[in-house]
Formats: sequence, structure tokens, C-alpha cells
Amino acid sequence: MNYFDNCATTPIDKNVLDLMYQVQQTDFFNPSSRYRASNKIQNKINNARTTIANIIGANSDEIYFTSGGSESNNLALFGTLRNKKGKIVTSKVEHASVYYAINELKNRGFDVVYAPLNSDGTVKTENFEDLIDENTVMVSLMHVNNETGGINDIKTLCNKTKAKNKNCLFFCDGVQSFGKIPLNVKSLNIDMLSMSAHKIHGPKGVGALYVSKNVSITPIIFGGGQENKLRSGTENVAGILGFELAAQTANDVLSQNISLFNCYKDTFFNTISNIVVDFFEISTKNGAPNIISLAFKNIKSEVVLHMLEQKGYFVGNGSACSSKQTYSRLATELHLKKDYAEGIIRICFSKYNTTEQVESLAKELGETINTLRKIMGVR
Amino acid sequence: MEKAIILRYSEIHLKGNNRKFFEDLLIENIKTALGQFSYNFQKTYGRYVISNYDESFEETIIEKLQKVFGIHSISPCYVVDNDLDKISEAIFMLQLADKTFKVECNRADKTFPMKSFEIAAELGGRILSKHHKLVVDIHNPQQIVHVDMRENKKTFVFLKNIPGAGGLPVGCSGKGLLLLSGGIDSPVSGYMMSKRGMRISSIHFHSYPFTSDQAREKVMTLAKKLTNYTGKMDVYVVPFTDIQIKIHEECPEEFMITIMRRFMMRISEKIAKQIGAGALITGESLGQVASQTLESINTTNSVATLPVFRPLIGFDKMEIIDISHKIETYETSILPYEDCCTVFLPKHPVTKPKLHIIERAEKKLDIDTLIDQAIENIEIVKL
Repeated sequence: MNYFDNCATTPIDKNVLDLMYQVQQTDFFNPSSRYRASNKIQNKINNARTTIANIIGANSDEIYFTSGGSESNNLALFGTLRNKKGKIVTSKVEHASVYYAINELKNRGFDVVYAPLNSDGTVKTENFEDLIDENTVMVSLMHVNNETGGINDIKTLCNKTKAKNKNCLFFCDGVQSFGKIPLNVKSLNIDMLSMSAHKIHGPKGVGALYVSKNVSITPIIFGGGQENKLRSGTENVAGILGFELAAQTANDVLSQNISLFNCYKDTFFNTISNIVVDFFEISTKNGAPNIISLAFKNIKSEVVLHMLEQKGYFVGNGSACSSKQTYSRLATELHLKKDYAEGIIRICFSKYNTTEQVESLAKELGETINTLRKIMGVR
Repeated sequence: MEKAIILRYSEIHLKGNNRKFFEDLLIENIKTALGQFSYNFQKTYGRYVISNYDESFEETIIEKLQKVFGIHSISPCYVVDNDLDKISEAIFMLQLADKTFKVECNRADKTFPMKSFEIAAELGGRILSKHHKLVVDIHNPQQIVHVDMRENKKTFVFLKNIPGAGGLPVGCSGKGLLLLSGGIDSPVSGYMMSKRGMRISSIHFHSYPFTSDQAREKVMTLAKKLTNYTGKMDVYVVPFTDIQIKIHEECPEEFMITIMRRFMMRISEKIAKQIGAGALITGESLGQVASQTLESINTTNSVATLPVFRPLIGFDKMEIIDISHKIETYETSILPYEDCCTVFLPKHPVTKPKLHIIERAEKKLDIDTLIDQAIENIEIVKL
């Protein structure tokens, strides 16, 4: 199988799976029970907390485990904005779990300002400060855009925010950057960061939220008071420990993967440019090394996706979480020309891809586009 | 107090010597619809009685029965002995509203010492003495308390006459093959023919990879919803992509849809004959789109020898939508997955195709081989 949709999800590492299997069997106790065995499990969870904290330069008591990226994003927004009023600054190309959460906040009375974008979906840093005023309570921007790979200059955006309004919170959706590019919450100066395990060869159903100690946050799920009273619910022990191992592994091979993926990008473009015409790259050289985003003229990307699947290649067309929509928010926001708007294909590498795979993908993709254009009688 | 459900059937009483055939079918369909429940089934003159069921499922049972064609009306009732005290006890269990009413009594038990109107008057009096806000109106009552005294010394007491689905029992009018797309019209069309007693199989044309598997799943969901009315159904999924590509390559763009539909008709007819279906069913409504003008229908119809039933031909879109809401297919039908008809949609489809021109345009195609190949790769889904 040639799987190139690793921004949607990744195959789980075998050692992660083995660990989780073992944990489910032996460490099945409820971590809140009064057994010694439970206490041991609680310690393992706290070690996992420390591991995640170390990777992003946080303190371990600033990490809260959740059920994944969407929950982390919702917790960050709803958990801090309760009882507040004012303005939220965000962008129109945020992940659905941020975009629609903020839509809900808008319905509840917040003013929402959408920041202007560059052609790779990143937020323009010039004059960003003009969007911030004394009423701005939250800036919510993604680190790496899941569809274009564009990397927001979070440090600059955050500093501009804080310079204008030091009480304004800065939340960063880090689901596509955590474990993919270097990331340090203290140097970025952000207040909150969301993370997910299944994007880095960990299990689905587990994630985390970094919340700086200076931030006041309240639960959105009530119950037994787990996760330092912020996120009730019996801990997903196997998930958390699996997440820890996956995160550690991703961090260990981070720089190695970055250079590998950059080579893959070169290979890909060298091959495909010789086969097919009338396309352009939405992703850029400065973007995430693992993501290529392309727009093809007069092509319906979903058809390409099906045709490639028949040949054993898996690619993405827009964000998997919202691909049931009839139009793409991204295509609209980036003002893509009509004949390119339906033809967005996303390729996301993982460590399990090989140069040969990338080369054959580029070849198959190029040929598929040519075949399809011929069938449909378009150029 | 014992409860029961009375079922009355619709047109079967018109069927003279064939009555037993119709009745047997209806009973079989009722039993299929209630497959998951345990109950007693009793055939009495002119009606059926379902009793001895778990009362907590009464609503669900009635919902299921409301989808069985051939049932005219449904009444959940209390069953008591032929005794005025017991009958009035049952009446007081009914949810009587503070409105006008009358008691209607039917006395099949001629050994009972009072006449119907006397029983009604007596019970009416008892109701009035208990419910002070109720008023009798024997000419135009807002609610009717039915008291049905049977020969077997049992009385049915009920208030409601819930309308059934009407029509004829599915299976009594032969078998039809429904051309099922993912749209709003074709499921409604299937429902309509099923209502007239037709057993339905469906055929769907699938254009993978040009349409998604979700589009196929959508059609399966629609078909599954239809089975509430039609009973078991087979869906024939025809791979249609190669034919579409060939037409697109060889024929003028504006004839794409017309020629495509002629292929659908030809394939459907072949399948219909294979499975013993005596008619094709489509969701066409005159003039709705370019392919549903009189000229277009003539051109596509001309390749079929079986009758093509188009129960929606005289319906407005809104009327069709109303029915699709009623049969709960609307929400699925409007899901935004492309179907095979929209993939190669020409910019200007011909609205008044001429048969001889279309036939000439088709000459370049090896029609029989294309059809045989498609039929060879049909997938049959049993619902």
C-alpha cells in the first residue's frame, strides 16, 4: 500500500500498538482506584505528561490529556471564554473543530474577525496588530495548515498580539505541527497548544492540550475531576501511554524526517513536472516539509483520488474531516480560479514512505490526471 | 386490561373470487413487517386482530403496520367481556379530550339484551357523569367512542382510527424493476408502485471512480428505507463508467444524457426479463429536466418493449418532495454526492431529441458488447 494521506491520519507504529496491547491487559485498573496498582498507573500517566511537556518546552502540570485534537480545540476555546465577552481573531482556513467552535461562539455573542491570508493559507503578519484591540480576548490560529502545509509565523503573530493587548489569549492549533516541525511553546510565547496522537503514528482517540500556568481555564466536561479537575473521565491509559511513545519517537526522528521529506518533495516535483501540465503548487518551500498541496486545472480531485486508490495509492483532497462538504473553504478563501478550485490534491508523507514510492506516486498521479483530462475532453 | 390492535383492509373486499389470494398476501406482509415481535394474529370477518403483544412496543408495532400496503386503518383498542360495567371501565381508560363526542355501538352479539342505540345512550350517559366538560353531539362529533360487541362475547373499545398506508398488498400486482438514482424522485416512484401492490427490485447505475462509494451507499440507504414499504428488495448495481466514457468519446456532447438513458433502459429491460419483472419504473416527471420532455421520453422509451411506469409523470416537484418527506427518503436524497447523470453533464443538453438522429449518433458504438460487459459485472445487493 502506498499511503500518502498522513495529514488525515497515520498508520500506528507497531511498538506503540504492542505497548497499548500490553497496557490494556496488565494496567487495566482504574487510575483513580485506591490500589497500589492504580497509583502506579497514575505515575505512568504523569510520566507521559512530562514527556509531552519536555518535547514542547512546557511544564508537566501544563499538559492535559484529552480525547484528541477536536476536544483539545474545543476545550481551549470554550474553557477560557466562558463568562467573557469581546472579540476573537482567527482565520477562515482553521480546522473545522476550531472554525465551527468559533462560529458557535459568534452565535453566543462574540465578535469574530478573520485575518487576511497569504496564497499558501497562512495569516499575513504585516499589520496583523491592527486586528487586535483592547476588546480582543482570543487569537486562535493554527500552526501548520492541514490543507496547504503553510506554517503560520506564530511567534511574530503572538508577539504582535501581546504587544497590543497583553491580556489577550493566544491559542495555537498544533495538531499538524506537533511531531512534524520543531515546536517550543515558551519561545512561541503562546498560551495554549492542541496536539493529537494519531497524526504522529499514535492511536486515535487521544490528544493533549497545553495550557500555560498563567491561563485561567474551566472544564467543559464535568465529572470525577481527572486531569487536575480540568477534564473528567477515566483516563485512556493505553491511549495516553501509546501517545507518549509515539510522541517520543516522532521527536527523536524529527530532523531526520524533515530532511527526508524535503528530498521526497524534490523527487516528486522532478518526476511530475515531466508528465503533466496546468497545475500549480499551493504549498510552498517554507511550508511543512511533509505536505504538498497542488491544484490541477479542470480536474475533480475526488475522481483522481478514486482512480489512484484503484492503483493502490492513497492521497487526500482537502481536509478529511470536512470532505463531505460540497465546496472547499480553502479554495474559496485562497480565491482559486474556478477551473482549479475543484482540483486540489494533497500529499502528506510519513516515515513509512520511500523514495521509490514517492517517485511512482508522482508518475501515477501525473498519468491519472492526463488520462482523466483525455476522458473528459478537457485540457 | 387486555389490549389489541384492529386492522381493516382497503380494497381487498372488491376482489371477489381472488379475495383469498389478496388476503393471504396481506397477512404474509403483515407478518414480515412484524417479524421481530411476538403476538397473536386472528382473522375475523372483515378485519384482523393483533393481540397478546408487549404493550411497550405498541407504538412501534403501529408504525410498522402503517407502512404495510393494503391496510386501510388501524385501531389500538381495549378488549373486555360483553358487559356494560367492564365496557365503561375500558372507555374511561381512553384518552378522551374535552370536546364533543358520541358513542357508536356495533352489536354483532345479538344475544346481548340491549339494542345498539340503547347501549350507546347508556354508555354516553356514564361518560357524561364522569367527564363534565364533554358534550354529546351525535351529528358532528369531534371524537367517536367505538364499542364493537362481537359474537365471541368480547367487546373492542377504541377511540382512534389511524389511517393505514392504503393501496394493495405488495406482491399482488407482479414485479417491477425500479431505476433508482440517488435523487428525490425515484424512491417516491418506487413507493407509489409498491402501493399498487407491485413487488420492487431496483437497478442502480454506478460510475466509480467518477462518483464515490458514498454515492452508492446513499442509494443503498434509500433502497433500505423503501423496504419499509416494499418488503425485501434486491438492488442491481451496474458498473456504468465504461459506457459513459465510450459515449463521451464517440457521440456529440449534447446527446450524452439521451444516449446514456437509452443504455440504462436497455440494460434495465434485460435485467427485468432475467428476473421476471413485467415493467420498468422510473421517477420521470414531465418537463422537469431536459431528459424528461415528451421528446426525450419518447427517445428513451423507444428502446424498451416492457411497459415503463412513470407514476410521477403528472406531479409537481413540490408534490414529490412532500411524499419523499412522508416516506423519509428526502434527507438522504439531498445528500450532495454526485450521481452518474451529473458526471458528464453537457453544457447544453438537447431538449427535443429526434429519434433518427440519436440512432445515427449511436451507430459508432458497439451497443450489445457494452451492455453485455456491464451486465456481466453487475453486483446484486439483497436488502
